Amino acid sequence: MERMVFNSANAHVVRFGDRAMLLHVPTTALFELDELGQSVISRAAAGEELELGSLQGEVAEFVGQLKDLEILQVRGQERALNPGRVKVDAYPLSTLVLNVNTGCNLSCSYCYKEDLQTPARGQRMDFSIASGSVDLLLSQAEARDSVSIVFFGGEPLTNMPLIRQVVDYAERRGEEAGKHVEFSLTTNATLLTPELIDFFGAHRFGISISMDGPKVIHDRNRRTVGGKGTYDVVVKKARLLLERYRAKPVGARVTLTAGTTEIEAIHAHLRGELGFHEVGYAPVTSSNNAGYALSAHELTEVHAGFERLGGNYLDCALRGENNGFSNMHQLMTDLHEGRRKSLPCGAGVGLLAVDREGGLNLCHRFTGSELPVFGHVERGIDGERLSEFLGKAADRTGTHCASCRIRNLCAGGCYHEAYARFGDPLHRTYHYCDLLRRWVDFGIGVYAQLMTGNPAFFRRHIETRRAQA
Amino acid sequence: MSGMKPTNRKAELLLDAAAAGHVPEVVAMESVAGCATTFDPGWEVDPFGGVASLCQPMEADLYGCSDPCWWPAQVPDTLNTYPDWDVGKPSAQDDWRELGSVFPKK
Amino acid sequence: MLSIPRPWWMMVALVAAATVSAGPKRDYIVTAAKPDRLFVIDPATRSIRSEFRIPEANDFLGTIVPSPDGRIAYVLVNKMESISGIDLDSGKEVFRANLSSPGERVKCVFAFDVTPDGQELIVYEVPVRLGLSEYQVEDTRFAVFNTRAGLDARPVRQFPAPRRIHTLLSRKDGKSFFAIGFDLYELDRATGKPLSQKGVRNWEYTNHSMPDLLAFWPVSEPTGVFATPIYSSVPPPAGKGDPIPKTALMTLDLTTGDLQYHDFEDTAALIFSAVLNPAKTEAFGVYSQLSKIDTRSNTLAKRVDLDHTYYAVLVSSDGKEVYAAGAMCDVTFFDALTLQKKGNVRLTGCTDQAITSPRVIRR
Repeated sequence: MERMVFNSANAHVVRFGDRAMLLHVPTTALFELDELGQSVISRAAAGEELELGSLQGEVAEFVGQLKDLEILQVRGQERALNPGRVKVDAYPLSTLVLNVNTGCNLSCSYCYKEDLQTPARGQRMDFSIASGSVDLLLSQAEARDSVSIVFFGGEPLTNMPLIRQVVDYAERRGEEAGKHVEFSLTTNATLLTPELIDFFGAHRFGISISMDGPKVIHDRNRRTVGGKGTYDVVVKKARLLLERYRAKPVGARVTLTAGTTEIEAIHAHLRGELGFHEVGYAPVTSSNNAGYALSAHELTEVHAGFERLGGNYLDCALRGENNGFSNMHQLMTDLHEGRRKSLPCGAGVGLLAVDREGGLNLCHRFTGSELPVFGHVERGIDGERLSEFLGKAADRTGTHCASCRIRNLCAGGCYHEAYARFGDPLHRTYHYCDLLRRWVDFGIGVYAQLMTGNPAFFRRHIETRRAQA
Repeated sequence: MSGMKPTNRKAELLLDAAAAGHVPEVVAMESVAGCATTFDPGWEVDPFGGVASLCQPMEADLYGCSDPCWWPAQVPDTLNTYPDWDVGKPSAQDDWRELGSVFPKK
Repeated sequence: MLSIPRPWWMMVALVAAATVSAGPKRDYIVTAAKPDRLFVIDPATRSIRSEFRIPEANDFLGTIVPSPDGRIAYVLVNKMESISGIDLDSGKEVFRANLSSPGERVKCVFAFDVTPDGQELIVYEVPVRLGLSEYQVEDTRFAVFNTRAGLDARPVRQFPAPRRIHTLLSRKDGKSFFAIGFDLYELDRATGKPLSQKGVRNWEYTNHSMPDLLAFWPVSEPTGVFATPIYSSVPPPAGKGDPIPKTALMTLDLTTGDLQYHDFEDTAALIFSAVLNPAKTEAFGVYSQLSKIDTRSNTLAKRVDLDHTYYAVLVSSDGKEVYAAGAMCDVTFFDALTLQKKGNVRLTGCTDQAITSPRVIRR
């Protein structure tokens, strides 16, 4: 007679109120447990063995189901259910990030850009490298109907001539190849003009502005080279853009660093007062300049702020409204789609970043870093090395990730965060595991309430995002 | 009471897979295009830019088009996704009133 | 003489009692209509001779290919995933090939034919592997079935096929077959070896744009020459104005392999399908009008409006009558000379023929 035990590596229960959700970890399938389910699962999770043969009726059926899903396994044969060896040998690129100028007209204290320089000393990308990048992208994206080009820096607006050239070239080449080309950029906004805004609109750029919140918060870190706060200029330009730009929704990107944890105040200002369509928050958890990373205590505060803002997200969503909290959108999308990730992000698979010399980097955070490149625009992608790197990234053996309940949503964390903190991009980002697990639990609760309270929200606000992905 | 019910689509898929013994094969979703076989403009306009050269009457063309999934934007995909859309309605000119709408599957 | 509608079961009983009369061969028209009916129409009496039910047609009736002796009609059914062979005397299903299998969905997109010796069916297959939440498109192929394989026929050979084939026609000597897709391909029947490729999309018609072709009514009877309209455009005179749309008649001689195309008009009406008369001096085309094309002078000889749109056109073996069929629920008979309407047969229940391909058999 088989004795079955609960394997918490394959299933996780999230309770809120009198409801309970079951996350099937290997597949990101989400179930709601009824009374029977809750009773069986809590007994099993508490360590009770279940003998399938001695059960009857509904309970037997349910336990059989749990066995099929490897949530209950035979004692002595427990194992975390993980996909087999993941081998990446195709690089269906969808996105290339071009570092058009290492120079930036600002000097934000926390900037992670490894190769940041003042505008005078900024190194601009040559058109030959940029056009070569476009060619590479179009040839690698064989099966896709559309590709993305992201302009990055430094500050991309400091090299508009190149951007204009690339847009023109890419649109022509895209038409020849039968592919739609999407453009986007993130900017500090200080150099925006009505003419530039119209140019971006004509080519349907996706635009994000890096802005940290109301004046007091923004000016803490986002300063000019001379050390002056930039809020007054940025807010003017942001208002200009938000008023004038109709091609796509405009988002704000907030960097949360040491001393900056006032999530709600920032959101109230950027979304509520200025009217950004979406605001995404990037907590700096590791940095080259260690002084800027959020301390453990601050990280907890940030997370608590995320949960409060997430609670507001839920209230709005139940009313059919969108409060623009981008991080929640992302989490809701992952849960709704049941995303199961072998890799933490598309770096190296769907996305590569080109540095000034034409070197191919995992992503824009790595351009100019000491991590060796994975090929060159002119010579092509170094498939062997990239495949090796990604294979290692996907291999969880011997790591805590192998049995972590969010292993298929987090998948090991950001390569650059690991690199900045541990010197190794393949090191798991253990420093925020607990918070991330809590964040997912929170998300599951919100998701469940939304699916019962206003499932239409997903059609209107979340599924459209999938189409853009 | 059955213990648990699926909340997201992945969960529904997983239960189906479990019933068929295919749990290890559940893979991440890929998006799939519809059944577009051609890029004809559809019924709005004929090759001359008017309507005179469309099928006369329009019903003459209805099943001729939906059967091979010719104009997916205008009719449900009866070839794969909604095979029962016209069951019991074999004469377009007589039965068109009974043709219903279809909605995406949950 | 119009037939009085009778319940289908009575028709089957009547037919079962009859025997095929010995004597000179006569034309019959074979067509199909929803949901699952196969009809044999007698043009001499302008009546329905037989009406059969195709099992598990699943509300889809596509290409019809009659056996060379006119005894069996092979019909593409079941959302393009099966071919059913119906004995035209007994109404019984004597052949069935279900192309799909668990995990692999295979559709024959219109294109299949029987070999002239009646022994094999050559079927164009478009397969896709069905994962639990994803599709994997596979390479297209030709699959060959033995017509005597009964109700669970499996392919006896398979070979690679180009993509986007829509018409398949056996060559009359049975040694090879033609497939029309982007271009006209000829392949060896036994080995699948590509024998030749002639431009269709890449035709060599001086001054003409790349053509547009819609062809899945594979009628070549009675001449053994397949004919279809094909559309393109030529630049305007003196380079001023819009390109001029042109309709050509494309013919493929299944005996010699000769492929020809000749404009016969500035496109003035849409034509879906065409058929050559026995003398090969004229072709008839149909859609919302019935057109007669003089193939010696490559001109439009006559055009009449029809009561409604038809997709398919056939001609009697003696060349005296033209039949318009397909799309809706009737077959109309015309005088080949005057294009005057002579009669009409309404299919039982007036259900749609849609995109099935009506054929003429002789027996």
